[in-house]
Amino acid sequence: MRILRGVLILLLLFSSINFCLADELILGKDIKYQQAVMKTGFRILNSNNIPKRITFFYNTDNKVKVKINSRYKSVTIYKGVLPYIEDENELAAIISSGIAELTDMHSGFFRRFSISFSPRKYEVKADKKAVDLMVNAGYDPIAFINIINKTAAQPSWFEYNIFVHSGKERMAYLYQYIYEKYPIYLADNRYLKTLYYQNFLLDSKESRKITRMIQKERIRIKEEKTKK
Amino acid sequence: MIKKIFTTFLIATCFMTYSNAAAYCAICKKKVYKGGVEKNVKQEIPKKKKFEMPNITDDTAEDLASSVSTKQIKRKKYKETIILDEPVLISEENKKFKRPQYTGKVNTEYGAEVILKPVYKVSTKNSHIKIPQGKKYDKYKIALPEIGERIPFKVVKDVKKGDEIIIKKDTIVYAKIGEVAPRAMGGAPAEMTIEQFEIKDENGNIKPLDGSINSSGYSLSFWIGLAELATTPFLFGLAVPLLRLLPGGQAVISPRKKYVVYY
Repeated sequence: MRILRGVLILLLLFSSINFCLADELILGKDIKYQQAVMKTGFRILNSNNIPKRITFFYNTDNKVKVKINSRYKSVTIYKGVLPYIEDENELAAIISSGIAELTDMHSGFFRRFSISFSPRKYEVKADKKAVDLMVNAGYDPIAFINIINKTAAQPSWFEYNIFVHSGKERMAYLYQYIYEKYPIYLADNRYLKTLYYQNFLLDSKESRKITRMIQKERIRIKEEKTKK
Repeated sequence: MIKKIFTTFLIATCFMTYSNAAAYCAICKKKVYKGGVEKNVKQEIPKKKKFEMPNITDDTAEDLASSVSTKQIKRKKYKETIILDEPVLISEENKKFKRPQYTGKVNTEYGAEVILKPVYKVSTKNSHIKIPQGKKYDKYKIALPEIGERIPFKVVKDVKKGDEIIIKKDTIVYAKIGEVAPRAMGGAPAEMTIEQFEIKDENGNIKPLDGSINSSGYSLSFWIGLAELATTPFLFGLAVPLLRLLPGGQAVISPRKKYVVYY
């Protein structure tokens, strides 16, 4: 009985000490990041007239992770992602990708089944939608290519993932979409001299060549039709 | 027995409240830091021994330095070379595109409703494009309709603002294909977005209309999932790889349906 009493007192003491030394002093440093995430997120929502409520959070765990909660419609950016973000365009790229996925998930009852059965297709669709969201909000979509080059995985052929594309494939789809729809951002590329975009150019010669050839052929066919 | 437990619980809660209150007061007065050491208390810290790096010599380096003159050695300097992308081919329509600027304005109210129907049926399709490579052709998969293709719509009803007719019936409104996602395995349907609706007024000025059309084909994913569940005990899960090959439906915009945008 005495031992039980002693153990109970020790447990209660231990739990009380943990609450004593609070994190009020640390909170001040994270306010600016939370505000930056919220401002960027709400700017994207307002510019695109998205009539759905989505919330944006900044989590202080040191994980390189962006979490999308479909139940609560929230996008959470973890502290570990911050070293990869160099400017507001790259932050907007990450947030708009989350917004695109959330709006897609909530656009129909059967949509979630389609997403779970064909995740690769909807990943590409969300990336393309994210480019549209960024452009409408006044951000540069080339930053999306940069951030994917910094963060996306590149598995080997025998580690082929049926759920997600590799970083190289995602960047190729993005480049093709920007080339077809918003080529002015590529013509006047403000990220051309960055290390990450230079690395992308080095690694993507084949896919860019194919994109260019397809676009050239399309323009030629259109011009022939207009002449007729 | 119960009294003893109760008294110990009371003692513990009293102690807890006292310790929490004391800690809170200490934090407010900024006396307590993370480590729990008070600021005003002077502690005797023993003097640490200074660490001196031992001098380790490398005989090989000394022999090399004596045999080769350092003036002859030239280190490679990092030269930043910029890789340039090929010049971008921009179509005539894309040349008119202007980078949107963020204005901070939000459309809080809808304008007048404009009910439209397409002049002809538009549906997504998987196709190939042939690119000549010398005497041969290379085939690449593309999704139709192409992004940026103009689709004509017809206004079904007069659009009125009060008593004044703003847009007459049978006026042609043009829109562009925004994005096409082809159908995929697993019953995923094709999807199409039509946006950038524009109308020419009486003076020939182009005015934009608000709104977009998102069309999606039929989805088989839910039924594939049910069929897999139902057939698993009988076919031992063999139906799964076969059923997952089925694609969904094509996205269609038909003149039988009416679509709404806003002026």
